Amino acid sequence: MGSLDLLLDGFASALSAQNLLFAFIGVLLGTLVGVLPGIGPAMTVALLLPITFTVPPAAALIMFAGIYYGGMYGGSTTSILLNTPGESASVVTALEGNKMAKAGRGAQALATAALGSFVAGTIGTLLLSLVAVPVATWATSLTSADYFALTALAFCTVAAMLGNSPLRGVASLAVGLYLGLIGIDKITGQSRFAMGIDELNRGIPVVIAAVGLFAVGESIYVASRLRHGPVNVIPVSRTWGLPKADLKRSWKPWLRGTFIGFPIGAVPAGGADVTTFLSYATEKKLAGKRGNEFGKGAIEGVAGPEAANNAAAAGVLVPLLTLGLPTSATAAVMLAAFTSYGIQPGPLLFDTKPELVWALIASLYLGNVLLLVLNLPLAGVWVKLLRIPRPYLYGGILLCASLGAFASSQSVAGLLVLVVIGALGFAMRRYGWPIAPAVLGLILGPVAEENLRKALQISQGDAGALLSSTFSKIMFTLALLAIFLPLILRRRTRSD
Amino acid sequence: MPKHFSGELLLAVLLAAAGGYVLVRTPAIVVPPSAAVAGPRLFPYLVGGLLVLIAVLLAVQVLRGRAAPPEEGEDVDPSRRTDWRAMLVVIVLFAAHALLIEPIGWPLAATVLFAGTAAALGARRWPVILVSSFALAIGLWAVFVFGLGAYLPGGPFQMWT
Repeated sequence: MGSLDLLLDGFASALSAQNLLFAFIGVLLGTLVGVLPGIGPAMTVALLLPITFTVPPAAALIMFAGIYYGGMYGGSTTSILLNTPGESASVVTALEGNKMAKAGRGAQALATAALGSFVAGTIGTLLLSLVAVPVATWATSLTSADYFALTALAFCTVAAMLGNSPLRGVASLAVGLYLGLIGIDKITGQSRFAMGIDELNRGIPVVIAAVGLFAVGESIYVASRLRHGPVNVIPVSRTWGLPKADLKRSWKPWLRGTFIGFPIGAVPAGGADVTTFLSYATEKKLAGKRGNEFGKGAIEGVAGPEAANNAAAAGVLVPLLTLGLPTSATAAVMLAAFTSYGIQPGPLLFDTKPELVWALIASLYLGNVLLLVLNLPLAGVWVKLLRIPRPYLYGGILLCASLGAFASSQSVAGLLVLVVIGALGFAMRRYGWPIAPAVLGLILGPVAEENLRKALQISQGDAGALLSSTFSKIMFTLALLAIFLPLILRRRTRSD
Repeated sequence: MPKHFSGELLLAVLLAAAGGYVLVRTPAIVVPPSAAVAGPRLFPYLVGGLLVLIAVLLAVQVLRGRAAPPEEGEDVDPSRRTDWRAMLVVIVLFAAHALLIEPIGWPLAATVLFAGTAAALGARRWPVILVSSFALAIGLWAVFVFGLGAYLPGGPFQMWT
């Protein structure tokens, strides 16, 4: 079996001293930023993009993947010990996790989150290594119409499923699509909608947009209504493992979370956030007589969603590596790292750069082990980090935002664009618009446009060509479901 | 009608303005003969239309008083009124920091940003603020310039490089 040999070679490469060191730094940094509010894995990878000038590709990409996985681990700690989450993918964990911590079961909540993340991350990586080559082979047969259908599905799911108000989700998506229009049209090479500003002629880089909307927007928003007074971190004892009774209740939610998370992460359907909600709802439904524990600290409500978001992180790497299609902000910044090495992820990547891809995949297995080892004993250290005084924390976040943007763009005007987008991010948060759709619109808008135009040019303008293949029909059907299913469910719950 | 004016209307107006701008400017895009079918104007028309449509729907919802709750966060106190002063100070500081990078170098410009933000958010012990901000700025600068080989203007510290 060819893939297995390649994977073993990958392990050999990932276990080299240099790559192991970068994997370690990656998971450490990832957990750190996952724990801290306001700064996430996307921004951290953006911040470290300059290392692509000095470090070999395998080492840098291994580190970035470590940051991505680490961020998913770290977010759970914040969710459980403070009432509210460090990452958007950990929102659901706070529901039960924080209740457990208040009831003195914080250690068990942290342990089930860490072990569940490990189990799901490992199974997810295993699935990634199994499906990557077949998917890449199959992807060579995908047409522009199919790619357009994929992006359409991503738009519909992310806009409809996130947040309280679907209209505001679509509004956020529209903002992203608008930002994505600005700059050079890939096909004809002319600049569009630059408003006469030089800096905008080349378009708004994903790094600037993501850092602006997430980090700068969050900092301005926090500045506008900072919670004063001490930070209430629930103290927790050392966590080494999970008592048998809790293990018995956790393992099924871990596995269910994994199999909800991975496929949804792999189709471009809004990334990890959606899967955590689905997993939570599933666990609540399956709880049976334990159902009344939900809302009071049911361990299943931590185990399932935490497994789901880690499995989704592995799933997101499938379209990134095999189709060159990023479906989350972090994946988009990682794509920027690939391209700065002149490497184009896509169906051909497994043929042209097998040693690189397999070293990356092998490093994910190692990263999961490192994260487990780091997280159980180090929980106490992360708790201390949560107590950093907020004025300094947000000062540091803004500083890192500026550093990341300036180091990657080398332009003062870029920083001014950053602060304008940050102000936009503030306004969106203030009025309850979800942020993720805007970032996805900016990333996938240009991809959607390019493929839509190519597909229509091939068909001489016949719009029916967009629905010609079975694959695109399935994608559009799913997209319609994503829009109408929540509406129907909402109506039903309202009439109940 | 809502009892008081919602600032979200401004966002709806901005959306409409962006949509209007796209729709008005799109006919100015040159369409090369090779791209006569599905050219560079198609997608902008779709996005412009979407922006205007959403802006109208949103304005209707806002005027009917249906708002979404502001985003929650561990450091956010939803019951507080918006502190416009702290917010504006942060925005102005960031812009000033950007404009200062070239003249006084990244380490000093970064010190201004960090110290200013910390003070605006309520830190009061100036010696601590100044020492920590300068140490952080110069430390990060050194890591990026010497460790990662990135270019950041050093200002007075440029001679060390």
